[in-house]
Amino acid sequence: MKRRSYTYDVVVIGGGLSGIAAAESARSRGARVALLTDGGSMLELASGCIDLMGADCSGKLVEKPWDAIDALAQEDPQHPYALVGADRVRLAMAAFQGMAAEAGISFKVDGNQANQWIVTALGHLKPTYLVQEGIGMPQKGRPVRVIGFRGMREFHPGVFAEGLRKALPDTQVTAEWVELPPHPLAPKDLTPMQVARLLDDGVYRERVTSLLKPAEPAPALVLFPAVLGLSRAAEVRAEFSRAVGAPVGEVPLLAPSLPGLRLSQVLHRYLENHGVDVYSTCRVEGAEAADGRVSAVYGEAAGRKLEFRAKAFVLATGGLLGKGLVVEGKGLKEPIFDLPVEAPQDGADHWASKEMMPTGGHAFVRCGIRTDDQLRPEGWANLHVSGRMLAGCDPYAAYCGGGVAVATGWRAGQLAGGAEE
Amino acid sequence: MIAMELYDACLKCNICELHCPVLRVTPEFPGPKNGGPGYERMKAAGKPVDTTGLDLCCGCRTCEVVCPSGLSPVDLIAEHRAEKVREQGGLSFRDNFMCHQDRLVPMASAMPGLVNSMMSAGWVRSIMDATTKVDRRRPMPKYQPGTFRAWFARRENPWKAQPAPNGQVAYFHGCSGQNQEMEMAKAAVLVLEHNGFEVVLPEQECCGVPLMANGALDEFKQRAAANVARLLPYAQKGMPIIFTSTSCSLNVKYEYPKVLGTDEAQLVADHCYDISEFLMMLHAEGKLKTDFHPVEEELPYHQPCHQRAQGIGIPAVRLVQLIPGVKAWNLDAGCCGIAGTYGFKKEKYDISMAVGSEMRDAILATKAQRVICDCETCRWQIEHLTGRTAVHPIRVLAEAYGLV
Repeated sequence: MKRRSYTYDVVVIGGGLSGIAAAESARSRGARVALLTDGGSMLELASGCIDLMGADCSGKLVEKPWDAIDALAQEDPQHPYALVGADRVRLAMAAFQGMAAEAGISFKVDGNQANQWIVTALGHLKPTYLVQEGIGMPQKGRPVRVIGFRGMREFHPGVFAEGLRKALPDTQVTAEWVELPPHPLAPKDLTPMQVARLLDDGVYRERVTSLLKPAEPAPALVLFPAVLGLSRAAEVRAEFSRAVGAPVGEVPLLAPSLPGLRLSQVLHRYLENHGVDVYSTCRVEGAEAADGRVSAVYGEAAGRKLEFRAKAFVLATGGLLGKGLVVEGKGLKEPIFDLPVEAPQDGADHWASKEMMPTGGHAFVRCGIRTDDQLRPEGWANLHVSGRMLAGCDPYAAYCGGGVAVATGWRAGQLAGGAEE
Repeated sequence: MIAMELYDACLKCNICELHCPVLRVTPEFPGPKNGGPGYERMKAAGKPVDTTGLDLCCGCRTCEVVCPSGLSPVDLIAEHRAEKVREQGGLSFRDNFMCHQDRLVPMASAMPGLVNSMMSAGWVRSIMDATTKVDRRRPMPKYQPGTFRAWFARRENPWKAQPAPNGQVAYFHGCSGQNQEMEMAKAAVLVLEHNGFEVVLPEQECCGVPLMANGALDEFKQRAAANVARLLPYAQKGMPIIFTSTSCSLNVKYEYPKVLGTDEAQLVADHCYDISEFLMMLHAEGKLKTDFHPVEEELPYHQPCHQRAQGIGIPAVRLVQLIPGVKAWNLDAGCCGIAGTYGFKKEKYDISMAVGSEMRDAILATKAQRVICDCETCRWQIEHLTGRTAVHPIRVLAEAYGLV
């Protein structure tokens, strides 16, 4: 089969958070960039908030993520943050915020650059760093009112309130259901997506807001599941806030996640509007390389063979969940370049702990690709790896997934786009 | 013929449901996850499945584009629908009529005035609405006098005396290019010739996208085989085959090799290009003429779903961005909702209009008088929903070259 050939300065493989950061950083340096994506990314399944460093190497929660990152240079020099360097991580996070703001989504940062606490659907607190606008952050001792939509299984206000009361003792939490007005599009079983779409509709929204009443005394915060609109989220929040007479916040739910999807959509649009060519449905299958230099990657889109030639490449295809790494036999494989994957020795005990949530995490989570400080696997000159695929960090134990994706993506894009060789 | 065994890769992550434009406006559609891999799982377990509502799939392929597991729920749904059509002994009268509109062209192009006034007369549309269930509110595309092929045959080939510097290209004009969208087809020829290509016209039939969309998979396969046979000699000569309709091109590039599974179909597919894709590749080689007159115009682009499914980026936008003064961007406002014959059907008209509401709002929020789009049925829907003019990007290019 004949391959159709495209030539760019930089080709980024993977359209998730790290690939987006890489594409933007290469583009902003003047490179012509192609972004190859194969279906929705894990960003669409994530909270839409960006974790930076919520716990240190020992699994202890940290208040000041930057201190923990600074310490990595000594404590864990192979951690992706240490490879990138703390100063560059700072620049990357700031640049990412700037890009997102221009694309239409702003993030809240703590005034002291400390971690902030968002709440899960079960009412558990979770540390994160950049909080997407609209996501609620209840404070200890300040009354919270929780409203769920009856019929939507993903969020139960009573269960949530129970969890939040344990997480924030001495905090008054009240829970209630609201019955969504009948709508031909609202069957008994509502999904978050259906509710979000319904709420995007101004006419229907008015019927909902008329059901929302202020509570006496007014709570400090009214929390809803994160389904308050997809394309009109800011309007939905503002109108709900007026109706309940208090600030409104959203609680991120299980996948697929509206805040994650909102972020993914605006960032992809931003890249396309800034000249990045996004090739969706393009599954990269292999590469052409000699002497450690990649000259092209090839793959398939809608039944046709494509090849992309470039000066430099960024591999941001994700970990096991994103399928950047796949299970083969008893080991792990990186399917495009066949890069060596660092993994524990054979035997289940070496891969995973018997506990479900062990301190310090499971060994297999830290599997991935080892690189030098320019994020290149050993022996490769113009291939930079970023994001979840990198070895040596555990985003579930350390709450660092988003920040690692952004920082390494940024750095990889910068190097691929022509910074220091 | 379409890989069914892959259904088990579905993680039930719901991303497809989140993006499905039909599910957004009606709960009657079971959705890509349930209607595709979900039903396959039921069938594999020997459980009965209720295929009611699968008909509402508009075939936009969004679910395939967004699936992180590499599945094509849309293909699984198409198979289920095809089984239903086979069980019913073929298409309904209306669907059969809609799938073979190309047969009307010889008659309609001979007396376009009469046909157009009949097709817009209230009483005719009321009867059609009541009997054949073609929605009376949906404007019919206007027939033009004569045909594109007749125009092409009449004119002087500019590369008659000397060989064209860039060689020959074959042009697949499709049903709309032959008549209703003839001006667009002419513009395509002029732009290609301006860039040093001699254009040749292969014999061709409707690409069969309505057959595919209506579940007539067996006839679609015959259609595919016929077109492959006709296009094969051109592909064998290594000649690029150019399309101006993104649904035609998706079919020939993607569906034909999939349903026929032959080397010939693949060879033809390998030679097919959308015209913007082709011209941008020419530009990458430094061969595209850029002697454009400056045009001060804002041109929002509506990306047809069948263009997006090809995974070729947005070459139409990049192309018109080469014209000095043009501000073009991708609206990125979802499916227009018409989905070919879908939006003409009485039971689907309202769904079609509701699906397109996001795109409508995005267009109306701009000051642009014209919208660019490389699919004819999307353009008809844009004009119907917004009252603005929708043109193929090649038209804008021809204007900037001073060719029309």
